[in-house]
Amino acid sequence: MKETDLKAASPQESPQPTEPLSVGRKANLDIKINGTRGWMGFLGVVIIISGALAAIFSLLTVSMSVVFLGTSPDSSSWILVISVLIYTGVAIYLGVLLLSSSSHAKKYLKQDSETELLKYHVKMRIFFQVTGIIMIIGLSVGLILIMAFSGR
Amino acid sequence: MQTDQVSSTISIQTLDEIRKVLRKTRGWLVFLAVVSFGSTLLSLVSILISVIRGSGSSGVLDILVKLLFAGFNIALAVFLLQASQSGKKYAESGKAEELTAYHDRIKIYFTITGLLVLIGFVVAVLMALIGSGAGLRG
Repeated sequence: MKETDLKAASPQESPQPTEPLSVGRKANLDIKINGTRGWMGFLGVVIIISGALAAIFSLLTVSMSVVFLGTSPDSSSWILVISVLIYTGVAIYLGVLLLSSSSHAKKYLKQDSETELLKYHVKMRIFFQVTGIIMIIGLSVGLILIMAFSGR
Repeated sequence: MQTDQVSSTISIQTLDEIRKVLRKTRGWLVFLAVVSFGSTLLSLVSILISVIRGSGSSGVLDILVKLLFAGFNIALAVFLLQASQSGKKYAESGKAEELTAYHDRIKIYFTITGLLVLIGFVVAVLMALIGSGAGLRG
């Protein structure tokens, strides 16, 4: 590669060549991925169930007051239901991402497919990315609420 | 015949793609670790304030459980940071040992999180059993 090409290339664009993965290192990597995928699947199932339970309980709480007390749900009940439904949606998405990541890891270990290994990494990146974005949204909402209530 | 050191079991093209993915992942890992550190610090401050004030609602067991969770949170944040460091090094240098180090940290992170969830389940079930037992007696 010419010197000008090297200068033009961004320093983040893999400046050093990738080291080949030896048989021993790959076996080590497979052991680590195998250890991760079980817990990933477990957490995926737990997150999906927690989201579904939250949705069921919030809907039950609101419908109980309608059925037994005969009162129509007020605005706070609707806010609760909507926020819980949003939480459920996000929880199911995160759970599915973890399950999918775990499934790709399983396929990679079974078939020794490089595509599956790449998909496993991509799904994990999306999982951490979505978790981070949710945290940013949560922190922003929390900050806005604190500012709104402290201003009262 | 190629030696174990030079024979690549995964193609360089795939490893390059993984490098690109890890470069994008590591920023989020750092962010999650920093947020985890921050929230744990806040919870530690609140525990300290409640201890100094001597508020009756929080007993010794309550404080110990909160401290234990804070400790686990810090450990998880440290593992995320270490994974991020390994991911960064792998994205920059492409050394195979950094890839395995990254996966090692990620494995520990998910294992601890899973164990915490399991412990939480067991404690919740025990509490429910004790609570229902006390309710039946009372």
